[in-house]
Amino acid sequence: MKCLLLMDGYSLWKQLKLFVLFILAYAVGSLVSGQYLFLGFSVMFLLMLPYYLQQMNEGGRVDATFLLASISRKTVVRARYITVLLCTALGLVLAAVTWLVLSPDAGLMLLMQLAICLVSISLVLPLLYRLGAVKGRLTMLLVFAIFFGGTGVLTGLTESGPDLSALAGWGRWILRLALPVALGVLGLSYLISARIYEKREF
Amino acid sequence: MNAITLTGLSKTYPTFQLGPLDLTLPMGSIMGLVGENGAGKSTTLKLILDLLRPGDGEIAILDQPVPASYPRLKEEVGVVLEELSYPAFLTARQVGRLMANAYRQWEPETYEGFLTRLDLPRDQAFSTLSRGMKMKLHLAVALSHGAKVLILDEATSGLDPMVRQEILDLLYDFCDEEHAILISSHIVSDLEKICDYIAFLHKGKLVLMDEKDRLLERYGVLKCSPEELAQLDPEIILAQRIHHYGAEALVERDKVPDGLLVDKITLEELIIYMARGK
Repeated sequence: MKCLLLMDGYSLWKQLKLFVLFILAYAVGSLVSGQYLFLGFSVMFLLMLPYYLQQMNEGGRVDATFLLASISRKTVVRARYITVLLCTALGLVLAAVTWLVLSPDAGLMLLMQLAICLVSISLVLPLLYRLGAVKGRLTMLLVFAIFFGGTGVLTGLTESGPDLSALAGWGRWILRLALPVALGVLGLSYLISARIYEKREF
Repeated sequence: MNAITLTGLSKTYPTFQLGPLDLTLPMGSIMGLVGENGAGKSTTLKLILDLLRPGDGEIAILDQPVPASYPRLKEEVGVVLEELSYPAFLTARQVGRLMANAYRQWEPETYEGFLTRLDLPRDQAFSTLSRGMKMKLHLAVALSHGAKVLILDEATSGLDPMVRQEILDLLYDFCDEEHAILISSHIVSDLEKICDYIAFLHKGKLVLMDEKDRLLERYGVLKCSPEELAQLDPEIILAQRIHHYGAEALVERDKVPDGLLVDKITLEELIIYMARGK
């Protein structure tokens, strides 16, 4: 496991500066505009990291090399989840600093951001293992286009259409439940990825 | 103890069927796996290494079942496959650090020793190494974690004669009573130099497996006229070639009638004749 985390670390080291720079740019955008939305982009950027790592894998040849050492397939998948979670944590720490400057009571929103990150990772990684880096990335973009498009339509309806204010009362409950649900989805996602990878041939 | 045992191993693809294969590699010996492109050599090695899932049959390494004994058993298996790779930017020094965390039995001094012996740069990115250097790096890793069995796929292909000889010397030094090597290669002359056993795969089937010396003793090339060839019992002719100067046939020496000249055969000739058939 340590070997795989170290390898991901070597792979990401060069990207790390760019990664931190993007997060800070989004943070400045949020501070200047007073909008949380900018920090949402950092999530999108984070979700590209698994694809970057997979591209480094040269069509599974690097994975095959490490599978020939005394490393199990489950460990390979687990290591990738841990790497992505560590990157997410780093991104969220940077986001948290910005958000707490924007609004000291932004704790719940931070939890929501974390939940969105976890659910997104849970979607991205099984797609990556099932479809590979290129098709997986396209599918992910499609999923997010539908998600954000749907959100936009819903927002539009709320503003100009039927009164959905009754749903607002549920908001706080949704925020509280978001994190446990997201963790559950992440666990399920790991099991699916491990199952896909267990069947993979090199 | 056997290093590798395959029992009824098979794998089916829509256009190709490998096996069923039965093969035993005893400890203390080197076996060459030969065959034309697409014969199933790499598939066989990948099945042994659990990179492919077998359709049927059983695999054992050091008498322990595979894949049930993996990944622990992989400590005992050193591997050099043609298509293995490290991330492009990794250096030999970084590979050493990674492997120290991948193998419990990793021997840093041994690895350093191989880097020096094989003249490998420690701080040059993997992607900038020549093919020969990449192969040597894989071999240095394979030999630095106390492996008892080495599995190599086309480890000497595409390399110049000097590097090939360097690698063969390493393999020869490695193999004693406690170790064994299974090596596949197109370069039959390399295998002839180091192998004790030869296994010949043809279109997914194992058509020949025996000690190299016994094979070279058993078979020979009969050189005669086409007319003389026609008078022979077809049963003793395993393969034949008729050209302007006469006829040549692969035969079992002890079945040829007295008076006919049977030349010694090289391993490469034997494989070519066997692949052509009658």
